[in-house]
Amino acid sequence: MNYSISTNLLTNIYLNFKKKDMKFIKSFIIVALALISLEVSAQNKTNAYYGMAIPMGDTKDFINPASFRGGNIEFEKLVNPKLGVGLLIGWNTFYEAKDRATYPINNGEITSNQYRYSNAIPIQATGKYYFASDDAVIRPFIGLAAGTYYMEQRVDNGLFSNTDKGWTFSLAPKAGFLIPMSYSTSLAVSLDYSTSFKSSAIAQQNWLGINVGFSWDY
Amino acid sequence: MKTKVNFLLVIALTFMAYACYPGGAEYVDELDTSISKYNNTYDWDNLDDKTYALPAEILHVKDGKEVDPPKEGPHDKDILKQIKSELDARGMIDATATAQDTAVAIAIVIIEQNNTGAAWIPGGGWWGGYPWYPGWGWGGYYPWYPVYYSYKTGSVLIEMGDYANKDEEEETMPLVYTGVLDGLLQGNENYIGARIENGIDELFNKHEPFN
Repeated sequence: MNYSISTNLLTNIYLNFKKKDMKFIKSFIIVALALISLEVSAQNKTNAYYGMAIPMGDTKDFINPASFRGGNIEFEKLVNPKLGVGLLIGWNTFYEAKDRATYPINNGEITSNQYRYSNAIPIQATGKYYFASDDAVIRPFIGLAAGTYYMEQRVDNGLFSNTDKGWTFSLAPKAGFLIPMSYSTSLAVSLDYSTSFKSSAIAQQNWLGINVGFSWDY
Repeated sequence: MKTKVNFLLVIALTFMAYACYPGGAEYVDELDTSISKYNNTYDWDNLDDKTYALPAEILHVKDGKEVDPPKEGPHDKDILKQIKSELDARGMIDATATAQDTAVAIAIVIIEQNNTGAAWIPGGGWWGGYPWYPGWGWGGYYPWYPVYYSYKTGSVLIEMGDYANKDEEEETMPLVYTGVLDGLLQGNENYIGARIENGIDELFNKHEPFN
């Protein structure tokens, strides 16, 4: 059952690529790629993170437990040894199974187990500033990611399902550090605070992300 | 080479997301749903001494068609008995026992529906063996598998009409209450019977307008 659900999610993402969204995303990607190709003799980085997330605000009201299902990957170019720009994609799933309870509906009530899902798929441009050079023992950094989230929130009551979905504007300031382990590989840890701004379909969402992964230079 | 690694990372991320996607209900009864809808202008506060008429038998509908000739199902007697006892507990009076014209007429329908189809799922039977290791290959595996599904859903519908305000010319009456139990028709008859009993209990003891 869970497989077909995630297949539906991909189908929904596809079907929800309205022209207007497509235009927004296209111009967004063009700007991101232009930023990446600005420099001349740069180094590249690929950062891959396993991501956990602690829901805040409206996200917490909808789903309380922390998410341990997430990850993201970032392709980064260093425009100078301390400054990187990149493109980030990922996926975070929040989930809560509520005990059997009675909920109000129009002129009536419904009693069921309830399963709540919230999916956030970021496509973001990122900028990072590294405080130490690449031969340091530890390289702290701060950064900002901005772009879009594809958000999908679903509530299942028994055999009934209701989904709200759409593209939202997103911002995520972040801070973290790299610990170089070899010439080209570093351990990477970061914290970010993600905001998915209110859209016509979905309220503003916030969560604190904790990311652990690797960063490769080439 | 780097492009290939990046590409594989994206694929791995997608597959991990699939593999970890939360599953929802694990047991059949976790999908059971009780729903009630009612007309809130009806005089629900004074059910005491109101008469009701339960049907002599429950109508069965299978895959969109009325079961003909009518055949009593394994739970029909228990359903009628339980609803009668819930109404009696609220001070209502069985009209058939008093030879009065009833205030509330009740109809009960049981609907069975077969749902079949096919879905494509990633990874079919073999995914799940993570953590995987470097050198783990794709060769020889089909990344997508077709899965055929067939499941039966069952619903019990309890409808109540305001017979006292019937339109004799049109032979209609205002519908004042609908209670619906929905679930998967799986498990033995005892299990299904217990789930129906629990559902009727929820309709009358957890939901407006009867609780």
